[in-house]
Amino acid sequence: MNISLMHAGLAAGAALAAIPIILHLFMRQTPKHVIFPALRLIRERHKKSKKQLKIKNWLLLAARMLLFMLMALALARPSLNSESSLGDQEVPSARAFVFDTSMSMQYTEKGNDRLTEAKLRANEILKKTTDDSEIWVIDSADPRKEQPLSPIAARKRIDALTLRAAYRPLNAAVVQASQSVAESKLLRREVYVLTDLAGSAWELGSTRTTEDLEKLRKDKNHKVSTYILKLTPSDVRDVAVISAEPTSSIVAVGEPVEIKAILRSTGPACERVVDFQLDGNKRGEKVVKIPANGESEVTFTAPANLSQGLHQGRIKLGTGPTDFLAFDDVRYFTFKVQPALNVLIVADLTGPDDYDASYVRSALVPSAPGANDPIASPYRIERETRRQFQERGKLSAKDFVAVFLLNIDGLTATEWGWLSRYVQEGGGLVIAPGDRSTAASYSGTASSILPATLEEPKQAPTGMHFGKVEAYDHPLFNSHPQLLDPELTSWPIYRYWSVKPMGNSRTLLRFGDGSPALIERAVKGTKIGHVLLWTTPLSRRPNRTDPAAWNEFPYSWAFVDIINQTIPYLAGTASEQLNYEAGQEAILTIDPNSKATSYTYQGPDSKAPERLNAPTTSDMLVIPSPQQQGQWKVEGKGPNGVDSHLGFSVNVAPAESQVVALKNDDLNGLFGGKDNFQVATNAKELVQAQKTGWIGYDLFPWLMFLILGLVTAENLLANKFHRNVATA
Amino acid sequence: MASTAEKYLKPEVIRQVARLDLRAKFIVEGFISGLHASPFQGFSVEFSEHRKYTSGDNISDIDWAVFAKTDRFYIKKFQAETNLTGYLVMDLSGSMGYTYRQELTKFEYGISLAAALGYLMIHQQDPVGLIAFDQQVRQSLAPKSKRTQLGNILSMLAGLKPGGETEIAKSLHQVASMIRHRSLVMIFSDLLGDPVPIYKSLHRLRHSGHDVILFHILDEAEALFPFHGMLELEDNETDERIEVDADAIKADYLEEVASFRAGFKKECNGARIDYIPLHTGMPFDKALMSYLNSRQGRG
Repeated sequence: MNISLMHAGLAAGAALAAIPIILHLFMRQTPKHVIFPALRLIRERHKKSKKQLKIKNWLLLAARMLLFMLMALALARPSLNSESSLGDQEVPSARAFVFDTSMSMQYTEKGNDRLTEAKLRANEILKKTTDDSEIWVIDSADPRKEQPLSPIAARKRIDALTLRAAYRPLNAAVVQASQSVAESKLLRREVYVLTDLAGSAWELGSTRTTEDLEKLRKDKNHKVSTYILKLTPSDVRDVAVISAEPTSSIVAVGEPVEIKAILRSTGPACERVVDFQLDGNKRGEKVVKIPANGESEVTFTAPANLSQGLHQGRIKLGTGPTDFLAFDDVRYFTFKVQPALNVLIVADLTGPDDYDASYVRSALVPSAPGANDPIASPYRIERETRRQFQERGKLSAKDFVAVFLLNIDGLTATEWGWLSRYVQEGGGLVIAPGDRSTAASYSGTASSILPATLEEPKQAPTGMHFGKVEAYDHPLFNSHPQLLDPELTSWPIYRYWSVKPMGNSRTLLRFGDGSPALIERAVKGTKIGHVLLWTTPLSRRPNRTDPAAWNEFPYSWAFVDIINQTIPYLAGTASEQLNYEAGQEAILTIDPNSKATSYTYQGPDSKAPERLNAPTTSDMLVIPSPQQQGQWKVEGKGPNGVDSHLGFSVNVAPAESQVVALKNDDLNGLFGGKDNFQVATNAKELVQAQKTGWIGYDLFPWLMFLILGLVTAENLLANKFHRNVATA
Repeated sequence: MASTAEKYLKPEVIRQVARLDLRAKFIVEGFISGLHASPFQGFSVEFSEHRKYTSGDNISDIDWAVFAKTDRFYIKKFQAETNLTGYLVMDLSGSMGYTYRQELTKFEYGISLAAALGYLMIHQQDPVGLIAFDQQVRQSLAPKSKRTQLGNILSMLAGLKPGGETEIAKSLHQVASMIRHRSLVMIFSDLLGDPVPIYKSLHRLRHSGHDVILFHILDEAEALFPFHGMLELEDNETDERIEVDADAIKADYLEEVASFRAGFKKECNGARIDYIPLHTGMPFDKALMSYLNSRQGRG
């Protein structure tokens, strides 16, 4: 709170308080000289009363000074307020309206959604705004710097506002609004934030917002009053699809695809029909019971033998009585069906002793229990011995996305040369030496791509396990990061190769004794290929005493998980994302074989397609911040007439479905204190808040009361001081 | 005319009479005239016997009531005619020369009163003397009852001038030692000095067997303090100055005056001294009545 003055100039009248001082000090009454022989009778009393007289004199002086000051202050109409905007409604004002256009504002209550309600409230305020006022209309989702409008133009702009699936935090919009009005030369500056106060629309804990607003507040000449018009629904009832995700964004031909959806009810328990649609065709319908204020899960299976290419679908709720928020009744998804990725496994042992390759193979292409045929897998495995590998004469990244060299020895410089070129073409290489390997065959030419130099096999201390993961952010480990550490530290390691890592390598995982367990090296050629070196074999032996029994790692689910993450990583598809939240940049991978010179993209709102140039240095196409919720399509025409069909889905952030108003503490934190904003839930409260903000708590009556008291006190004091005494 | 005579009891009237002898005459005549109408008639000038009228007696002394009864002229003889030696003791201090309203100073008031008393006493054939003092006795006139004495007293009173500092107590001690026979000592003073030594000196006078009438004369302004606003008060005896707010100090001052007078009254009562608090705005009859009371007491 601070004190402001309606007529600040009049406060200068407080200087009149100097008058009593001047009178007291400089214009003191010259005492009348009187001969008075009975002075002796006065002397004693005079001594006693002199001190008292002085005190009374000063008290009287102080009272009179205070009287002048208070009268000047009262005339200046002081008020206690949160901001310094002053004046009545008829003065021209600088007003910024910040509209929360996030999807939670779609919530409908009493026939109006929150945005419509916000528009009505803003128009009410505009009606009371003079034509020479400056108005800013700020869409919370739009970061553009707005120019001031006339009230009439502002009404049109407000009417044109729509809900936006993509949003930016309201903090930024409030700061933008405050900065805009603060620059105005008009004296009354106000920011109205029209919002449901849903937590999802605000960036809580943002110190920058607080700092920016504080900076504005410190500038005494540019005070801004902030009013939050709270449009939070009184009782939120909503059923939402908060998630709908396919098994994977990339699936292999023949691989089964499941769509798992999570439904949430805010309000009472309910039963809703859930509709599953894929590529424009209805593929399923289920009735789902959702508990009160709880969640339910529903799974749909996509038809088998989906064609190769992009598939887009949606999960949608049927209509229901307890649902006043529409946007979250549907959720879109996209996945891609592509041919299985080719993987080459090179290991020497064959037949029943094929321990070195079998675990990796089983992890990538598991067999259905009791059946000989492998279940559908995104990978196609080729198996070769060292000799077969040497005889193939060439190796291309186009043939295999990954090559595993498992416990082999005796590769010549020629073969290492193939491997080197293969990696430089962007191929992925996984090497896991074991008891059959020698350090000599992993030196020389091999050094150009190997992440480390092999030194010698080493006996692990008894009871040794893997240590902690060094790089949780690495795609190999990011599927279950919290569960990996305890799993990895529970399987024993018996032997490993001691290695000397290269300078340009990165250790991803270590053993319990700190030695490297998994090292990676990125090799740059025409593309970037990756080489992963495991220092213990990716296999185990049934017999613990077998010299080839170096670990029990393949028994762990972490083994299966990491091996399955390895192929998409090496193939460069691990980071491919086809489902985005509104406003996120969509990054699509282009097939280099059918790269187009230009692309067009089109959102679900059927507007004209936007054109986009093809990237020259990478195979990634960036769609800048798609806003509309739904299915997006990207088309490209290749130089050879080969068309590419890409696409992705955009959904609103699930948090937007949670219309839970911020608490006062949160707002205090954002605005840097409760005195820096006023909250109003209805027109009456807004008028009260405006009163407080504009003229504050008027101190005039209180000051007059004080003056009255002071005049009385002064009179009493003066009368006591100069009391008339009846003639003796 | 009684009413004409009585007006001379008022200080503002008597000040217009320049000659002291006339002042004394007027005051006394006014006083006597007033007495006839007062319940004190015959109290102070007590009738004691008749004697035959002889040539030269004042015709006004003939008792016409006796003449009506006896057809003979008899003259009233008054008790007061028994001799009482009186001393008029004047304070000559500078403070006695003070007047605020530019009417009678305390001294003028005092000598007017003294003259009237002298006049009265001489006419009753009482010997009257005069002593004037400031820091000590300055002038004195031995008491005599001859009519010429009145002229001497009046001329000496008229010649007195107040000024300078005073030592009342010391002077009164001196007076006490000067007066050998039991007398009526009438002191005219504003008593502005340290009261305790004055009390002692009064006691000394009393112990010497004298009857004492203390005329405590203050200026009207000193008694009533009619001032307002800021004042710089100056003691004309000591030149001491004090700056005061008259309105603020008035109550305290009046209280102090009352206390000052009460102190003297208490001491005087204790010593059987007549204490007459006066101020220059008061009529003279109060003072004269006090004298007559004292005279009666002694008779």
